[in-house]
Amino acid sequence: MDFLNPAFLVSLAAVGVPLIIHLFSRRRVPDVHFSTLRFLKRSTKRSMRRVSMQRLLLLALRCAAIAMAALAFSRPVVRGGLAALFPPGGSRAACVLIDRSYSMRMEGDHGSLFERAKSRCSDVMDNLDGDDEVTIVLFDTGCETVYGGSRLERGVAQGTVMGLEPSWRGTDLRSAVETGIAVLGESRREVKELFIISDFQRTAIGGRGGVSGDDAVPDPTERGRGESVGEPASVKAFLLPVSPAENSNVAVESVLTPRVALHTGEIITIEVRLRNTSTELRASFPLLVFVDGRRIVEKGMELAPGVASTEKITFSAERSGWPVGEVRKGGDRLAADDRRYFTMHVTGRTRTLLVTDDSGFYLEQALSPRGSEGDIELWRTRWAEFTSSDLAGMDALVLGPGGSLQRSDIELVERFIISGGRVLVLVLPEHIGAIGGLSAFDPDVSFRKMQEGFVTVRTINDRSGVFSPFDEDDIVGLKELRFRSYAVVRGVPADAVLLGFGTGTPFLWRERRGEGMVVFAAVDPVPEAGDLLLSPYFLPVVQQSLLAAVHERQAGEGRLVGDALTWRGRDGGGVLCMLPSGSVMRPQAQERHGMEPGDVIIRGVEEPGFVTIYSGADTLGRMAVNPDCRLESEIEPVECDEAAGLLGLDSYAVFADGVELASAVRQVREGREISLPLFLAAALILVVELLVAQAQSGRSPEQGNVG
Amino acid sequence: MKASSNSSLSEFLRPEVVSRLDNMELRARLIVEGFIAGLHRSPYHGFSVEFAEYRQYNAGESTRNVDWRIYAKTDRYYVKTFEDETNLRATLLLDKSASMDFTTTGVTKLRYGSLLCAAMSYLMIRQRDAVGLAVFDDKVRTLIPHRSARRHLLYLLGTLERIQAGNRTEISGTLHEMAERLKRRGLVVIFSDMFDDPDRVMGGLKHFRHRGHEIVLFHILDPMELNLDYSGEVRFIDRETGERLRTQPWFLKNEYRRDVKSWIAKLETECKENAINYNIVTVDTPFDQALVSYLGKRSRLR
Repeated sequence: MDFLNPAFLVSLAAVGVPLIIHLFSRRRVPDVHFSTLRFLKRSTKRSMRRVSMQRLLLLALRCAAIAMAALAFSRPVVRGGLAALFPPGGSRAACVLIDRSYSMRMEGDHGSLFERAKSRCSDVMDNLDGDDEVTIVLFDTGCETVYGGSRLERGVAQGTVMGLEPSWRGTDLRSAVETGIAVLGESRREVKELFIISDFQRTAIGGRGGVSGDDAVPDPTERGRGESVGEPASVKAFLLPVSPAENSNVAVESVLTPRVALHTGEIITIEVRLRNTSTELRASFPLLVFVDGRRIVEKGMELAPGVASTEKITFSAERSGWPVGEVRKGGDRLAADDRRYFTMHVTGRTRTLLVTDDSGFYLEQALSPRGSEGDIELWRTRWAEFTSSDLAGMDALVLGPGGSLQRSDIELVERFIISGGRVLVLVLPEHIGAIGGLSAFDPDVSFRKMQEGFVTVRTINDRSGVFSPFDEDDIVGLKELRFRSYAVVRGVPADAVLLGFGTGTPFLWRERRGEGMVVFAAVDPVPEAGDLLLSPYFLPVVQQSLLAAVHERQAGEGRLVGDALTWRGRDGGGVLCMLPSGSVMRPQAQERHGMEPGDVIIRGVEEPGFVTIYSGADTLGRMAVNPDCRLESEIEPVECDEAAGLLGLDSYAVFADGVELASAVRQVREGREISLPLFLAAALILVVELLVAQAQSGRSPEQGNVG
Repeated sequence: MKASSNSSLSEFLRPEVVSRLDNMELRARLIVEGFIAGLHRSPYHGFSVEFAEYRQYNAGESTRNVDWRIYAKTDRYYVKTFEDETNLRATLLLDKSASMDFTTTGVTKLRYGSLLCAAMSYLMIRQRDAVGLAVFDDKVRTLIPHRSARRHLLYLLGTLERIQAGNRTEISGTLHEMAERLKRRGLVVIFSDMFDDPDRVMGGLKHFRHRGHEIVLFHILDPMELNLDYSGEVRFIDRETGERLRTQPWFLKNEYRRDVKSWIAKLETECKENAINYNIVTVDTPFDQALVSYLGKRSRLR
């Protein structure tokens, strides 16, 4: 006899309860001071033996009823001759769930786990009949039905299974089991069998494998632990584990590239995070870093069990554009997380035209303190000499004090911005007209000079990442700047404001227009001492505002296989993208929360590599896409019994890898669950016991002279 | 209308109602007058030797008391009535053994017996009968000689009021002792649960009969002693001996009832054979019903 819920056998201990009550009640007999025992003694002599017998019989009945109920909850299954007493099941529906997450790429002794899973699926089909209703579902973080028909066409199904490939996504076993149960729930067949073929990683049970934010990594062992997946009583689950040969694995978890603007010739530092997921084995391996196909680092590494290490790799940015890089480590059994791609945007010097009528000393110092050594190649002209033709070949334009744009120039500057140029507008009285023309918000600008006191910067919005290069002290210093006269700007939405005064009006805001950007800085209109412009805080603000790539976040981490990728650039009508698979697609322009006009969505990136966004012959950007190895690389298979418990499966059997499936399945199918007869027997005994007890009931001794 | 008035009177004669009254005389009067009112008879005039008054003869009455001389003079039938006067000597024997202290209704057998005793004393002394009282357990503990004065009634009632349960029962010995003590014939009324050997008890009763006494026996029991209506397991403790017995009464109650029934039947049969008025009463029996049997015996003695 087997038990489908052997844990409930513990409840057999409840049999002791009536025994304890029996003993307890014998000690607590009420005393009755009766007038005479003359007649009682006579009757008792004759009856006590029968009483004792009856008491023992009642006790035995109670114990038997409880034992039967406890056994029934444990869902016993009988086989052999005893099973023949119970009716067999009818027609069958089967759903086979095959794990294709990237942990199934792990190499075992005889090929990858996924190959083994396919082999086990074939074994399962060999044990199904032609009349059976069979559905085969592949799952990772999602589910895909690859075979579903009213009857099993063995050849077609086998062919389908042989052609399957593992994915690069994580695993959500709970959702998969829910899907399988839903599939079986729709079937009208009497017998329903759910086969689950997986490596049963702990991280797969209850958690979504693919998450994109560091803070969003769930603890899947906590989420949904023990929650039943809603398995109906008629579904029998068969767990078929495919076990990795060993649990050791070292993953390249992430590669972080700088978020600041990068320039050619600069030394770039990337951070490579590696982790030994084994809790026992020490790992030694070589680490290699390639940039544009050139090996720049090769070193030997050693990691203690369970240790994560971050390696800083530095190299020189030799070309502008989107260099591609790759971090590789020496192979282990799970090669899928031994390689990680990265890319970044490297620009040349930014050609900037400063239009000003004053000496421009402070602005020059702010924009290009290092002169010809700096990132900004500064050109200068006076307002009287400025024409739109001066913008040719420029990357950026700074509208300084002393003059203003003509109406016709405003249109030209606007076109310059839309085509990718960046403009810094100092909010001065003479530029009110330009501000109205260049800003989409049409802000209301006035100027105020304080007789006493000053205003300071209060609000810092670093959603854009402009201030990410600053540390805490920089931010504090920025907030300590004091302004006695300032521009009061109204009508700018809060999400466009990078810095705000304590008065609630913006100090610095920026607007994206087409591919370019315009930055408005409400500087002191009377820069008496020039302290603001020379301040070590204003300098990087202006520089970053101008130089930070429109595509700020394209170079970093956070692009995971299966994610919908967002490209922020020109509208989707003019760009194409090449996927890691080599296929070219036109991304969808889509409006959704948090997106701006011109953003596009790229879907369907299902393998790691680079996604290149281009227009004509120009490469506009590039994104590195990697698998999410924070969950899948954690090679920690759980025992199938524990997995069933975590999934809340009540009726299940485990067919270990290596067990001959045919005989094991036959043995389980021959079994008959006898919970219901046991429940009925327990109920019957209770009824008998109640009748006997009722016969005993009479006047309570408490109504007499109880001592 | 009459029926409802009777039924409300009976309500007042229920033992649990009567026993709630403070004063024993009040209780006795309530029982007697309630009982007599229930019978719809005047308690104030009997037939005796001392002339009281004349009253008109009613058709159907016995002609024995018709005053024929008045008839001769007036040509009308008159009946002479007399002050009641008897020479009846009634002895009340009340068992106060420990077994009489048992109750499941709130009124112990001893309490019930003393109330019944008090009611009878009241009734008898009102009719000028001489009443004596003996209270006993294993021997006679209190003995009050026969008197018929009203002052004697108060003494009797005071004694009954103060009775506490005593020791073991020894009925037969007490009966023999009392039979020897009572020289003149009279009425002996016994209030007891009779938990003694029936043959020996009957020996004592026969001793009374042998000396020419009329006997009325009130066999007082608690309903539970008849039915043994307990559930579950119980440890019984004998009130008199302290003996303990642990058993399951629900299981043996049928057998118990059978034994008790045969014991009572034996007592009843032997009483009948010896012309003893046997009355079994349970402590939930209203007093008027209990007194009916006494009344029967009283009228027989007249």
